[in-house]
Amino acid sequence: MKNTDIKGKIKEYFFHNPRAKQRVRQMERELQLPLPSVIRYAKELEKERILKISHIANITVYSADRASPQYLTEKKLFNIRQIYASGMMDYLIAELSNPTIVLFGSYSRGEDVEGSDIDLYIEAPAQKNLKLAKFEKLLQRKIQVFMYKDIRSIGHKELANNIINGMVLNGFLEAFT
Amino acid sequence: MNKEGSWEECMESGSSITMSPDRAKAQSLLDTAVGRNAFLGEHEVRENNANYLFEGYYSSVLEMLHALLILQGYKVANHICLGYYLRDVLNKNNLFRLFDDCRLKRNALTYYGRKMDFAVAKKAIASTQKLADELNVIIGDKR
Repeated sequence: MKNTDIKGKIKEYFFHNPRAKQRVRQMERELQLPLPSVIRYAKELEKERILKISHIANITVYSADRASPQYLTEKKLFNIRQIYASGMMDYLIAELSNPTIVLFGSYSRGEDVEGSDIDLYIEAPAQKNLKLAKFEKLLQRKIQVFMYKDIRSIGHKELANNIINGMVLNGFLEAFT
Repeated sequence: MNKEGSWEECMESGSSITMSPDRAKAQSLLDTAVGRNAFLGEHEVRENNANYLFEGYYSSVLEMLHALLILQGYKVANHICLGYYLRDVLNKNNLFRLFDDCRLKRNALTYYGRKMDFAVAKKAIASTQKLADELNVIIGDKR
């Protein structure tokens, strides 16, 4: 395994588990990585402000530095890559004939934690039952779909504002005409 | 898969080439589009025909776009470059988006047999009609 892959694996673990607190030995066991590499890369990730260190009863534990802009940027990019890599976009585009898809909420901001949902706004002329269980498993998050014909038909102002502040993953969102 | 990402690249790759403007050919294409649209318009859009009507309307949009480009002295070999002309030369980003969405829907239908739901197909037909109206105005201005 390449060293860069070890670093990526540690990062990925904390992106999937932002609330996790791990000692290096726990990471070694859980991720099945060599201890010297875990020590080295955990320190590097701490310098990069992806991870942070805290001391619990004289034991050093690592956790995601969820407040740092570096973590949030990388997490955001990771989340988007995960969505595309899961094949969910291909599925939605094929199933709904190229709809407008917006990712919004905590997942789009990189602020999601273990129990967070992936919020998707889908603009489609008709409601359709989507089979998303496979993608929920791959992405390790529940997927909540808000399907409307038109963003302007959403009665809930807060919801509409959250959607507008999300990321358009496919198509074009026409909020004003 | 198309390699071009812009009108400039379409010209570089040879997918779009220059030629002498041909008013007669353009008119013939426009007549075909008008005739087809008149024929399609005789049919009420229903669940069992919406996808096929959309294909027809899309063909008419293609003919109109080809006519527009022929009037401007271009011959274009693929659909995506027709879209880039709208976006990059005419600066009609909204029309490009509309056309590109129709193109993707039509490709899914023609090449992968993915039929649209009735409501989606109806909306796609409305998009092609909007495109046709806008193109009529542009063609009128360019003549």
